[in-house]
Amino acid sequence: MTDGEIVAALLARDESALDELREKYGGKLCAIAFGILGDRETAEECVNDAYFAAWNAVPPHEPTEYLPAFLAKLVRSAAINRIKAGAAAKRSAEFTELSKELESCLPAPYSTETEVESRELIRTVSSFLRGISTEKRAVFVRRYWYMEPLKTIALNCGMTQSKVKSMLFRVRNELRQYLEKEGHLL
Amino acid sequence: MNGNEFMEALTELDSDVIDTELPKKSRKSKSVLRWIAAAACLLIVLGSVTAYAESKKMETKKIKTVTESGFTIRVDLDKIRQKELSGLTDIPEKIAEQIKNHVPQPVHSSVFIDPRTVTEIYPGIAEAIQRIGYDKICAPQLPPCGGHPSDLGFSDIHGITHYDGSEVLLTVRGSDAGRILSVTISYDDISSETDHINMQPNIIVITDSYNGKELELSSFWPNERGWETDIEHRTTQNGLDFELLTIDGVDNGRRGGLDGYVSNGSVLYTLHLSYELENSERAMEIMLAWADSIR
Repeated sequence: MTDGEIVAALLARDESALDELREKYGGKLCAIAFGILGDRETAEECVNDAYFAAWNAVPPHEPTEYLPAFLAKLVRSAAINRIKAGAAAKRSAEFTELSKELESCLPAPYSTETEVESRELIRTVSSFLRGISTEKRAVFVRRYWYMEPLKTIALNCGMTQSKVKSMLFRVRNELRQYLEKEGHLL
Repeated sequence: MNGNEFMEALTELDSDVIDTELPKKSRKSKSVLRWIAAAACLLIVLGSVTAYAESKKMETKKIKTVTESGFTIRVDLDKIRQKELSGLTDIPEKIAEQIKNHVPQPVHSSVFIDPRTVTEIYPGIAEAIQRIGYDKICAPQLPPCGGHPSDLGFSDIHGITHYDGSEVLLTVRGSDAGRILSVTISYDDISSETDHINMQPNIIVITDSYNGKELELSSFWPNERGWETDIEHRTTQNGLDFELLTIDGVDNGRRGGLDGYVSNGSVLYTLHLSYELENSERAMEIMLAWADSIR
């Protein structure tokens, strides 16, 4: 089935769409959840949560053109919820560490009073990431979106860990400056 | 919005951004070694240069683990004849004089003076190379240096008291019979640029008076978990073998180190860089420019 056919099946409330999702994206989604949580059983639970969320979200969403990323977002969200609920204690510390690193990007004090403001902030972050090199963008996304360990990123992109750390440091600084320039200041 | 909320909100990054693929890069070879240690930086112990069987053949450099407290770099260098060191013809006589006049230090003295070693100070590397008189030694490219008190401890080793780090040390080691065994040019400095990268370059040659096959450099190396060393084998622009070590995790992850080893056959060039993590890219630029300038 193509992504379009899977989405059409979801829109038609055809449960075979879920089997297709498992078949086509199950492995990748499990890998994302496992990368964030570090626990296979909890990761599988998250993936099942994501299928359920997809079932509920389509419609109104029709992610025909971006189904893999749509599912990945659902899995990430489910995995973070597990961390917040304390189901992945081992990764809680790492999540906190990454959060602290990212907090340095936010002009302090920073507040988003509404969901609209929060979305606007993330839209600006997306815009910033599109404007930097593919290499920097990939490293940033791998680290802060997929929460991959530095060593994994270094191995996969043929860099040393030092270079990855240094690159992340620079991108965070650039992001902070970009957010300030774009008026994300209180 | 705090960091946790920001991390969570990032879930909604645009799909095309999330799907960014990592650019793949090739690496000729890679291995990761872990070390346990308390030392703050890599220091090549030139005084531990040893030698083994006769060999004139230049092979690749080998980096090998020897103990838990460190590792050993073994380099097969071409040995040169003493007479090729045309500027050092007076050294054997000096060594003989030093041996003759040597007064042994007390056992517990912190000062070690080896009568078989002659150390001289020059204002720059060009003067030191000229003194040696061996035309296969070049001066590798390095950024301007600012100078600072030496970390190398030469003042203790050779009784030199006025070395300020910006000058170049020429060290000639000889045998009891007055034959020259090795010549080393070294200095310890900090880049005068704003990135404060500590640089320790060395140039080493050995002569056929060595009874051995390999030049063996012992390094003080870390002994604590979390310190990691990536070892890469590269080739410089001039086609020379280049071993590059990257050290991570120094000073609780705040500092890094790079160590380069390049040989053009009879001359070994080494460079140790130590730097704050945010200067990693600049340190790598310095290292690669240094390696590529060697001929």
